[in-house]
Amino acid sequence: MISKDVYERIIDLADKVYHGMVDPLDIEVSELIEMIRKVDLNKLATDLMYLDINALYGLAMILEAQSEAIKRKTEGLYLDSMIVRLKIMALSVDKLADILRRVWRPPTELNIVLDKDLLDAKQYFDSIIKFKWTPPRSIEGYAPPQYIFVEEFISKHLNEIYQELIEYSRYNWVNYNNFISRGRKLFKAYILSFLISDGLVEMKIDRIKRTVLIRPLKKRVIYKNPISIPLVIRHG
Amino acid sequence: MDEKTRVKLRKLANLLLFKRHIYPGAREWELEKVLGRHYIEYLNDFKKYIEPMGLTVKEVSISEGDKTCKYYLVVPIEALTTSEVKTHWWRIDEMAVLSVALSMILTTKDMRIRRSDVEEILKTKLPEWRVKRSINKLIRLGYLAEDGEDILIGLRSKLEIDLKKFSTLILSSRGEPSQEGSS
Repeated sequence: MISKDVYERIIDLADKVYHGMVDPLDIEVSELIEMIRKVDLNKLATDLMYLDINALYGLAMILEAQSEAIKRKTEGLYLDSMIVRLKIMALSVDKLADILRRVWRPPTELNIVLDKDLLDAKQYFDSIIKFKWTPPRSIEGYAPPQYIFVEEFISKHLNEIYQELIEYSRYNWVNYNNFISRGRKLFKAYILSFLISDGLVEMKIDRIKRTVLIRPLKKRVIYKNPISIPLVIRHG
Repeated sequence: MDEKTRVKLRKLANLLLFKRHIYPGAREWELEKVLGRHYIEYLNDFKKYIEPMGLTVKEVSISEGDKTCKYYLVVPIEALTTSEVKTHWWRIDEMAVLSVALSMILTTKDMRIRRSDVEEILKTKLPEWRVKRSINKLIRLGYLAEDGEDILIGLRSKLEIDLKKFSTLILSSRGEPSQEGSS
C-alpha cells in the first residue's frame, strides 16, 4: 500500500516537470508506475483513490514531457548550454549576425496596385473635407475675414468689469441680474463668468428669494472643488 | 499544360505570393480548399517553375493550439548576401541579438529562457539600450515571443530560419582569436 505522502510526492514531481523545474529524462517513470500498479484498488480509501488518479495523470504528463524531450534531442535542435555560452562570448557581433544570415530565408511576396485601387484612393481623397481653408488672394475686391482673438479680447475687459463691480457693490453682496442689467447685459454676463471661474468674484444662490448674488473679492480664491452653475438670462 | 492545371497553378501562386493576412504563405488546409486533395502535385509543379528563379516552396510544421499544421511559403534557395540583408529591416546588431537569443533558447529544455539572462549576455557585446530595443523589436515583428518574463522562439523564426542548420553553425563556428592569444 502506498502512503498519502508518496502520492503527493509523485503529483508534486509531475508539477515540477510541467513547469520546467525538473528534467523529465531524469525520472524513472517505470518504477513509479510499477509502485502504483501494485496497489489493490478494492482496499483503497476514497481520498487515496483521488490521489491515485492524480498521480497516474501526473505520470502520464511526465511521459509526454519525456517524449517531447527525446524528440527534440533527436531532431538535433538541442544545444548544450555551456558550450553555446562560450561560443557566444567568443564570437563577434558581425560573426553572430553572419551565422543568422546564412540560415535566414525571408518569405517572397508580391505586391500590386490595381486600377480599381487607384480609383478608390482618388475617390476617397476627393471626399475628404478640407480642414484648412486658405482665402483666395487674387480675387479683386475680396476682403479676408477678420478674426477676433478671444483670449486677448477677454483679458482686455476683465479688469474693466471687475472695477465696475467693486464700485457698484463696495465689496458687498449685490444682485447678479441688477448688475448685468446695467449696460451691455450679455457682454457683462460673459465676462463675469470668467471672473467667477477665476476666483475674483464670489457667487451664491439664495434659493428662498430665488436670487443670484455676487460680490467681488479683495484677494483671488482658488476653489478646491469647483462646480458649474447654469444661469438663465432674459434678454431683449 | 492543360487549362485546368494552368488555372490551379495561378491560384496557387496567388495563395503563396500575395499577402492576404499579415504574412505571406498559406496553410495546408487553405491549399486543400482551393486546389483539392492533390495540392501536393500542384506544389511540385509550381516548384519547377520558380526554382530557375532561385526560389522554392518551404514547408514548415507549426502548432496552432493543440494541433500541428503545415505552412507553405516561397523562399529564396540561397542565403541573401549581407548587402541584400541590409535592404530588409535588419541591422547587423539586431541580427546578432536574434542569433544569441535563439541559440540560448535552443539550449533550454522547455524552449524558453528568461529575458534577463539573454540581456545579460548581450550586454557584454552591445549597449544596454540597444539590446532592450532590439529584443522589443524582434518580439514586435514575431521573431521572438514573450511569455511573462520569458522569451520563446517566435513563429517567424520557425518559418524563416532553418533552426537545425543554425544549431550546427553555432556549434561549428570558430570565434576570433583573442588579443592575448594573437600577440
